[in-house]
Parts: sequence; C-alpha cells; structure tokens
Amino acid sequence: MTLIDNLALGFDTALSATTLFWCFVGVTLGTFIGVLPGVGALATVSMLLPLTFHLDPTTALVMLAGIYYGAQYGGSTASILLNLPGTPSAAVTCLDGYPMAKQGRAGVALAMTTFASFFGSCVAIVIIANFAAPLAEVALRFGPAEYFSMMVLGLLAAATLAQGSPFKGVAVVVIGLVLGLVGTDVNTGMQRFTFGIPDLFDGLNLVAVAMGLFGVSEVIANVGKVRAVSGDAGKITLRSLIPTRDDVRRSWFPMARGSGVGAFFGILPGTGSSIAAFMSYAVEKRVAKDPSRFGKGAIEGIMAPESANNSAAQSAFIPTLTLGIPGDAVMALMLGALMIHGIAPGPRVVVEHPQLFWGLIASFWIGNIMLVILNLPLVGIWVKMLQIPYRILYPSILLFICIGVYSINNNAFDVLQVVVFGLIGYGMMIMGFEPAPLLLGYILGPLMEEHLRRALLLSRGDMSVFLTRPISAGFLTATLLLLAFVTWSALRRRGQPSPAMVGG
Amino acid sequence: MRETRIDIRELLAGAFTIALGAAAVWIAQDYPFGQLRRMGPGYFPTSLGWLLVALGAAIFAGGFLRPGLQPRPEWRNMIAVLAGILAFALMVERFGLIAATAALVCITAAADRESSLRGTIILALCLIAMTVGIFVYGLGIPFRLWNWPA
Repeated sequence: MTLIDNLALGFDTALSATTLFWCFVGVTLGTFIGVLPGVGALATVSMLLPLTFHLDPTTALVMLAGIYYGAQYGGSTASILLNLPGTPSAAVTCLDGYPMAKQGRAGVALAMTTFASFFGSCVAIVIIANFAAPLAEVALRFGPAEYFSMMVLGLLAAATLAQGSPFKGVAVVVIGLVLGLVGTDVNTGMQRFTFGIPDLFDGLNLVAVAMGLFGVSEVIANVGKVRAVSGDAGKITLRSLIPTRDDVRRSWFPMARGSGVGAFFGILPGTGSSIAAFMSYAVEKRVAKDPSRFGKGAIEGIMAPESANNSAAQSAFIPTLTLGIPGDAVMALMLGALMIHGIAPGPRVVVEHPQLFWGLIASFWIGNIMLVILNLPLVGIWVKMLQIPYRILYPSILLFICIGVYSINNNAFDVLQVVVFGLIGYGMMIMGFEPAPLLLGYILGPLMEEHLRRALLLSRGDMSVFLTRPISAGFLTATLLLLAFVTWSALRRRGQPSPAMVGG
Repeated sequence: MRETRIDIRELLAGAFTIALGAAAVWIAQDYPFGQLRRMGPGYFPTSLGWLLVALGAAIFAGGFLRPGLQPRPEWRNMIAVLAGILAFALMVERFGLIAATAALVCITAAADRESSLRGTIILALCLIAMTVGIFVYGLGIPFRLWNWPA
C-alpha cells in the first residue's frame, strides 16, 4: 500500500462520527487540564483510562492522544499569564511569556504560541507518516536479543536524561521493573511478590499505580500552594491577539528549529517534551544575534519551546507504536491501554492494525485543527478557568481518581493500591526522585525478562549473543556512549557550585 | 528551608533504595533461580534486587559528600489526602457511593487551611449529584448508591 492509500484509510477512520466526537472530547479536556496548573496530562490520562475501556481501541487511543497533545497547547496559557507552568513542558515558556504579558502583550503571546504549537505538530505528523512504517519494517526483523538491548537503551535514556542524579534515575527505573514483575510469572505460573493476596495474582493495577504516583502525590504537594488568578489578568480581547509584522518575521526560524529539536527528542526513546522544550530554548539563545533580549519578552523564546514540545509530544508516538518502547510516562500509559484492549505493542501493530495506526495519525491532524479553533477565539474562556480555586478542584480530582480506579474491576482493593502508591509517590518526591520513569520500567519489566530469557535460551546461556548480533551491539554501544556522556557532564557540574547552593 | 552539612534527602533516598532491593532479593530467595541458559522465576528479580542495593549504596554515599536542604514534608496534606482515599476504599462497598463520596470530600478538605465547613458541605453535595448523574445514570456503571449494614 502506498502512503496515499494508508492516509485515505486513516482519514476514513478518523472522520467517522464517533471518532470525531471522542477526538473533540480529548483535545478539549486536554486543553482544560493543560491550562490548570497542578493537574498534568499524566494524571488526566490515567484518570480517563478506565473510561476508554468501553470504547473500541482506535477511538480510545485517539481520545487519550488528544488529551496529551491538547495539554501541550493549554500549558502555555498559565505560563504566560501567571508565570506558573500549566504542564512541566511549558515551564520554559514562562521565561519570555510572562515578561510579554507584563508589557501588555499577553494576547500576542497566547496567539503566537498556539500557532507555534500547530506548526510543531504538523512537522511531526509529516515525519510520523513517512518514517514510522519503514521503521516498523526494520523492527520486524528484531529478535529477543535486539529487543532486550533496545529496552536497556530506552530505559537508561529515560533514567539519566531527566533532571537530577543519574543514580537516582536508574534506581527509579529498576524499582519500576521490579513492580512490573508482581503477579503470576508467565513461564512457570509461579506467584511472585503477591504475599498470597489473590487480588495481586494479575499484577498491580496500572491505573492505580499511575494515579497514586502522579495524581495523588501532585495533589498532596499542591494543596495550599496553587493560587487562582484574580480579576484583571483574565481580560484578553480578540484585537489584542494580533501580532505585529516584526513578531511574525522573527518567529519563522525559531519555529522551524524548535520543531526539529522536538522531533529528535520525541523519537529518541525515553525522552519527552519537557527536555525538548528546554533544549530548543538553549539552542535559540545560542544562535541569537543578541542573547540579552531573552528573558525580557523575546518572542523567539516562546515560539521555539512551544513548537518543540508539541513536535515531541506527537513524534513520541513513533517509538511507542512501531517498537513498543514508550517515549515517556504518558506513552507508557498508552501502551498499557493498548495491552488492556488486547493489542500487543510492537512493530506488528502497523501491519496488523493499519486502521488503528493510520487512523490515529489522521486524527492528529484533525485534533490539531480543532485545537487551533478552540484556542484562538475561545482563549477568554480558558483564561477564566484559571479562576477556579484549587480548594474546589482538588477534592474533585481525588474523587474522580477513586471512582475511575474502582470502576475498572469494581474492586475496592484497587483503591487501596492508590493509597499505597500515593504514599510512595509523595515519599519519592520528598526524597528527590523523579517518579515518571518508574512507569516505563513497570510496563517494560515483564517484556524485558521475557526477551532476556528467550535470548539466552536460544544462545544456550552464552551472554556474548548481545554483542555478536550487530543491531543489538549497536544499541549497547549507544547505551555506553550515553553513560559516558552522563558521567562526563556530572563530573563537569561537580567542579562548579550548583545554582541552588549559591542562592542559599 | 534549613541548610544541612550533609544531604539528608540523599541519605533517605539511598536507604529507601537499599531496603527495596534487599526486600526483593529476600523474597525472591523462595523462587527457583535456574541458570543463564534456562532462567527460573527467581533469576531476574534477584538480579534487579542486587542492582538496587548497589545503586542505593551509591546514592547513600553521595549524600555525605555535599550539603543539602532539610526536607520538609507537608504532613497535614499527606495525611488528609491519603486518609480521604482510604475512607473511600473502605466505605464504597459497605456504605455505598454517596456516603463514601461525602467522607472523601470532607476528610480531604482538611488539607487546605482555608476551606470552610459550609463550602465543604456544598462541594460534597454538588459532587455527589455530579457523580451519581454522570457515572451511575450517564455511563451506567453499577454502583451501590446507599447501604447501611445492619
């Protein structure tokens, strides 16, 4: 089949009334929670995961994806108006977005970031449509050794490229791997780490783990801290949205560079939109003729990161769908959703479920157009959302978490798991762990064990199989290079005092 | 936040990691280990457990090498939020959805110092109406709404 045939199939699927409806629900909800500080895409996707069990897998995925990239659009709103990022990936947008708002240019900033988001998404969609299928074809030839090495690379990238200490990052991933092993061992039927509790024989509940780690711990950390915006900041007129000719002229190259940076980090397994946004801001500052304008309301400083985080959010689907390796924690949840629907993630998805794959891609385009319509004329409504006080919001969030988890199996034990993982998640936050990679480990744990077992069974216990097969050796070399880079940059940082310490 | 001579956060994180790793190794002792060419169910968890112990030791040691900030957990938030969810879990089957929702909202509201009794009760009533409307009548999820054990 050619690309045109595939896209035709995709649009055929995506333009059906049900899919359109759920796509709209997804992007609207995504924008909503993206705007609200203190509620992330991760928490929302996990909260709504149970609802999608009643839909068919394509529609479910279309909606969940809509939440994810919709949140990237909404995230910049709070950054610009409140200097408070609505989502972590919009944190960089505060640096120049908030100064623009103080200069009375909030409307321009909001309109231009919407455009940047759209641009970044379009670039990424073109890349997915052209490269995902060939990549899946290569991946079809992977054996267990290749898979195992690729997972090692992906998990280490997720663990070490996030902020903080590399040791802690790796520890979080390994904790996730162990948690993934809870339940019945597929090879021997043995119960592992179940403490004799029958509710654990099928493993920990993915949604309960995700909501406890991200939803509940986020709420605990935010109560009493998140402030609603008062009165005036909420006034945005349609006229104030129009940028000057100079704004537009300055925006093209940062947008193009941002989209490229975003696509790169999106495709790289284990890294996601936050890293992409930070990197693209750094790139702009380096190539700018006058770097001193940054931080004082330079339009380049909002265009690049906003196109980068959208481009990354979209292209993160490439490793997720073609290799079965999630790019970040939200993608891990998407894989979880696929598995719950009985679809084994991996390169076969593209071949065996073309309707799902191409339908999803087509829905990206439709969803992004919906988002532009939602964000430009309706920006005033989203700004009003910022006035909802957190003391009303957080009990509602917790209630939806409880009901969502309970309704999966009608089992109160699953809600108890939320309590336990809420405690663990908040504890990890206090101890300075970044909990997001845990979910990657949790999803990949059983797969990794399976591939390791199979690879060594085929080679009769010979460990060198991971080095003699060229693709596997390539992944392991990349892993080594990554570790060398991380060690090098950690050593370089040790030489200088860290910024937090200087201030204290 | 108070500055400390050694990084307490790292010491806690290291100890936590070591404890988890040791627990994994200890529990996995009961599972057949097997050999490289034919791994038993204990092989992978035991290896991961030892890896965690090693990583934890490295994190723990790093804590002595640099100053840090005293961690300040929000005890009040944590207890109120977790107790509210726990109440929901324990009550939803025995007392029904309405009572469990009321308990969740009232207990978690204690986390915010600014919340008032009146506001909390109004919020609880609104949320009960919403959840019953959306989840029970809208989506048809079979919840037991009200129950009083004899």
